[in-house]
Order: sequence, then structure tokens, then C-alpha cells
Amino acid sequence: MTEPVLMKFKSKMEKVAIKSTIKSTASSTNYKNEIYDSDGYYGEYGGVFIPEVLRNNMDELTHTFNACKSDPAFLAELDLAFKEFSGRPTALTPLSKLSDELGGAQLYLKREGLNHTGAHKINHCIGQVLLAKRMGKTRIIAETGAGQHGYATASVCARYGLECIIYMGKIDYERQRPNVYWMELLGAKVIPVTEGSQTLNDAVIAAFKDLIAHPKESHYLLGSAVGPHPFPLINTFFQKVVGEEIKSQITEQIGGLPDQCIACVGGGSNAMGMFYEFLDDESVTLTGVEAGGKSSKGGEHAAKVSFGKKGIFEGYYSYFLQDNDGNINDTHSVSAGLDYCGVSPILAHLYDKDRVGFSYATDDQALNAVQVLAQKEGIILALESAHALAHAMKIAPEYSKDHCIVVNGSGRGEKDLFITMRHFQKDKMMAFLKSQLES
Amino acid sequence: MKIMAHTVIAYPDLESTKVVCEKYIAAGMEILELQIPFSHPTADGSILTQANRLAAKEISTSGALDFVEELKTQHPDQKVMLMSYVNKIFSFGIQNFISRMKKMKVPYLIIPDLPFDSPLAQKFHEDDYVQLIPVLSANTFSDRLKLAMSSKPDYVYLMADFKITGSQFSLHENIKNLISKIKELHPAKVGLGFGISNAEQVNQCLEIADFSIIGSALTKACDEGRIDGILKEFQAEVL
Ligand SMILES: Cc1ncc(COP(=O)(O)O)c(C=O)c1O
Repeated sequence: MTEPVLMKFKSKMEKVAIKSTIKSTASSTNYKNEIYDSDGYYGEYGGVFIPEVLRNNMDELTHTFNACKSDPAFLAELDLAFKEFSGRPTALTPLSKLSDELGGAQLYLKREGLNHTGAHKINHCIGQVLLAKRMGKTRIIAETGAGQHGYATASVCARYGLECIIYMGKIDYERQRPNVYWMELLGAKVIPVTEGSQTLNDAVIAAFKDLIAHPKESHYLLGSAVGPHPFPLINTFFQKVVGEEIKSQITEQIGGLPDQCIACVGGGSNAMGMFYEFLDDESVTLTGVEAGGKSSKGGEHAAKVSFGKKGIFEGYYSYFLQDNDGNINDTHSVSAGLDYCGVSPILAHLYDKDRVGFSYATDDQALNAVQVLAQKEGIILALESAHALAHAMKIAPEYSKDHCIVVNGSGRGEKDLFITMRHFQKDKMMAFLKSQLES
Repeated sequence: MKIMAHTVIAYPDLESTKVVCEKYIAAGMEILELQIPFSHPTADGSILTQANRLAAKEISTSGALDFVEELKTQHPDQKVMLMSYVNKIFSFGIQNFISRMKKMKVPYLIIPDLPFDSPLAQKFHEDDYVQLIPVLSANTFSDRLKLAMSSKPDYVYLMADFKITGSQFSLHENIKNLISKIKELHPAKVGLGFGISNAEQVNQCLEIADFSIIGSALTKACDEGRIDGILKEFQAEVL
């Protein structure tokens, strides 16, 4: 087994990282209200770029959400489900040994992986299913890439008695078999999508098409802070509990606010969930960490803010990985949850406003962070979240001991068994699989 | 023939598109709907999704527009509509795109993922020459309908049912009523599409609409070498 490396990051990513460490200079802001009351645009980003046939569904959802977001009965039901079904609040764990070893800032990990189904995704799944119930829907459609969002959706649907249809690109369907199994065990129907590149985008498109064909009885439970309005707002709203808990937990633990919050960014739901509560606290630096993949070459990463261009796709205006002619590029990341071409329009806006900085971590850096955390702190982190931790480990030595950095541990790493084991113990894994085949 | 024949430009290659467009014109298709290929079409069925994916690798937006311009030079009287997903046009530059449309003398543009009342759509509405053709469906209610017709488009594209292109044809019960409402607001020509694959269905559409729209079925016929036969069938049987 290779030795984990603590600090050997010196690469092209330095340039981007610098931007992320500059403190926001914006004067007193009111981002929270701006987002909370948004009509779908965040600065120039966002919008509702959908075929007219979907208009009623989006209007109905917006309407229902606006009624629910300040309805005490709805919020009480949400809180109770968070607590009783998902196990909230999740812990905020000081990473004392790792911080000492790095010799700089004190790192804290928000343990979203302790949620039911193992990641923050359950937060917006519970929220959206409660909205769907309010709308009288009987059928939930969702897309999934790695299967995490599909797994959480299937679980919540089972609990609330809704039919559940999960679209999954055929390639993902085949490489994420264990999650397909969990979804099916939970009673969901998992449909492999054979169109296009047979990955996440194709699953999103298939889900929208299903909604076109079944507009009355279905709710499309979109899995990140992306898509047409009101999805970015809805998912931010249901995820903001993450930042709210962090704020009270860190205040209790250190008697004040953190200096920095760091989250990985696939579409942006865990990042917005962590950042929202801190948006108007100017002293808190907020950084999103994208998937740097294998290299900065097109198709070998999924870093859309760092390398993408503005465009309109899957219903919203934001940064996308695309070629010069407006075609969407393939993406790559060792973590399936970050392997997506677009980013939340809310994050794009906050980036333009210099409120949220962006950086990226590579596949290798993320894998290394998983190993370091396992061995120093006894926590097995999801590969997605490990991108955020890798960035924190890189910058921590630049700060003094009284500097506090909170990392969003958006998921736990057991789901990555086949990927991390192949990386760390390939021979043992192959021997095991072989023995299983033979027995 | 009161048919709008759809094709994805450069699928499987530019030469084939040229040949098939000549066939459609010779067969008397009233309108050609020429789609600028996009890697990830969000509202097309599997046949056109695959066609788009392959054609997007064959040709750029600029190349596709050159093709249409040349076709229009050779057939100045042939009615043509351009169809594109919004990101292709956004990436090309909206003003650039509008200039090219004027130059090639094609005023009609269908963008399935651009709502007619979005701020971006205003850039097309503000131009006197270009017309954004609204794509409506059986669940477009009166306030949205009024808004859609306020730009006084010459044509309206109506989804026959809650379907995507390439699925089985059916006609939603509201459609007839919707067409008369459209005509009350503005005397646009209304085309019905989604899932149409034979002359009988075309005739069914023409009982209530001004023209019918065929996409996937033609592309499939081309793929399978049946295009000449299907065109003959339409010529013989479409009323
Ligand atoms: C554990 C975990 N973290 C992060 C993500 C990325 O999504 P987002 O950026 O919406 O939080 C995923 C997506 O599947 C995930 O499973």
C-alpha cells in the first residue's frame, strides 16, 4: 500500500487557488435575501430554459414551494423527517490529529455522511418529496449518475409511499451495479438510458422527457442545485440546514465563526447548503472545489467554473464545459458525483461577485485525502468530499493555529469501495472477486 | 404537400443532407425544417438524438448555416425554418445568428428550449425580420397563449400530444379547441407534429391543422433506405 502524502500539491492549480484565498471585498451584502426571494435569476445566471410543455410543472412547483417555504406546518414536518428519518443533526468533528500534523489551521469536518443513505442528498430528497405530496403527485422521477441521488430518492419514496422511477445512463448503470441493487431493493424501477453518451446528462434528459409524457401525476426530483428555476433555489433551501448546523456547532466549539468553509462542487447542492448561512458573514471565506480529474485537458476533468464557458443547457444559464461551437463536452472525475458538465447558477453568480472562490483538486489528490483521513482520523470519506478536504489540506499549513477551516464531508466513502479498493489494493480486490466467482 | 419535413443538417454527412433536401423539395414538401445539430438535444427522441450527436461532430453552426444559405440560393422560393437548441445560437452569438438569417433570407426560427417570454427571446422579438416560432402543447393555457401570440408569428408549432419526437402518434383531445383559440388571437398557420409516421396520420392532422410536421420517421426512412418509397406514399395519399 502506498504511503499517504500530506503536502505535495504544487501544480497548475495554484493559479486558480490564489483567487479562492483572497478574502471577499464586497461591502455589506444581503445575498441570503436576494437568493431566498429570487424569481429565478441570480445576476445574469439561472432562468427557465425549458420547452413550453413543461411550463405548468415548473409553475406549479414554484407556487407550491413559495407557499411552503414559510409555512410553519411544512417546516415542522421537514424538521421532523430530518431528525427521525435521516438522523440530523450530523456531527461537526474536529480533525485534531490531522490539523496538528499539517501544522497550520484547525480543520473541522461536517459529517453529512452520517445521514441516512450516506450523503447530504437525502436533505433535498426529503424536502422535494414533501413538496410532491403537497402537489398531490403519486410518481417521482429522478436522474442519477453514480446512484447516490437515486438511492436517496428511492429510500424517501419508499417511506412516503410514492412510485419511483430512476433514470441512469447505461454506462453508469453497469459500473454502479451495487447502487442499482439498493434502489431496486427499495422498490424503485431503475431504467438504463441507452441514448447519447449513456451517462448523467442523458439520464437528466430522459427524466425531463418522462415528465413531458407524464406531466400531471409526476414530480421530477432533480438532484442538485442546477436545472431550471425553481430547482436551484429549492435544493439550496432544503440543504441550508447544513450551514445552519455548522454555525451553531462551531460557535459552541470555538466561540465564533469559522474563517473558511470549503465544499466540493458537482452541481453545487452540498456547497450551497454549506455556504448559504454564511453568505452575509463577510469574514468567512467560501470556497468551492471542483473535480480536476486527470488533467486540465478538455474531457479529462469536470471543473466548469475553472475552465468552462457561459452557456444554456438543461434549463439554466451558467458555466458549462463545452467546445467553441456550443456542444457539451464529456467530463471525467474519479468521483461520479462530481462528474457533471454544469454548475449551479447561484454559485456562478456568487463567483462573479467574488463571494465564493473556486479551486480544484485532481483525482490523485482526492484519493490521497481519502487515505489520509482514514488513517489519521478514522473516517472514510466519499471521494466527492475528499476533493474539498484535499484543498483544505493544501492550504492549511499557510495559516496559524487559530485559523478555523470547516470542510463539508458531504458523503461517506463506503459507496466507493470498488473504486478506492481498486486503487489502493488492486491485487487483493481481484483475488477476492475471483474467489467469489469460483465459490 | 402540407408537410414540414425535418432533417438534421449533416446527418450522416453534408452530402446526404443535400441529396435528401432535394428529394423533399422535388416531392413538394411545403416547408423544410433544418436543424443545426447539437451534442445533447434535450427534447428529441432516440433517432434524432443519435442523429444530432453524430452530426454535431460533422459540422459547426457556421457550416450548417452555409449549407442552408446555399440551398436557399438554389431554391429561393422554398420555405425553410431553422431549428436549433438555444446553446448553439448563444455560443455563435445572437446578433451574428440574426445577421446570417437575414443574409440567407430565412426569417423563421424554432428554439425548443427558449421560452417565448424569456429575456433572451426578446432579442429575437426586437428584430423586425426574425420570427421565433412558438412551440405549444395541449397544456398551454390562455394567458400563456396570449403571450405567445402577441408577437404575431406566421406559424405555430403544436405538439399533438404529451410526447417527445419519435414516439407513437396520438392526438390530444384539447388540440382542436386550442387551434381555434390560436386562430382567434392571430391568423397563424398551425403545424401539428410529434410522432407522425404515415400518410394516414398526416391526413388526420390536416383535418384540423394547416400542416403536419414529420421528423424522426423521415430520418428513420433515410437510415433504412426507404425514403423514396415513403415520399411516394405521401404524394399518393396525402390529401
Ligand atoms: C457525497 C456527494 N458529494 C457531493 C456530490 C456532488 O453534488 P453537489 O455538488 O450537488 O453537492 C455528490 C453527488 O452525487 C455526492 O454523492
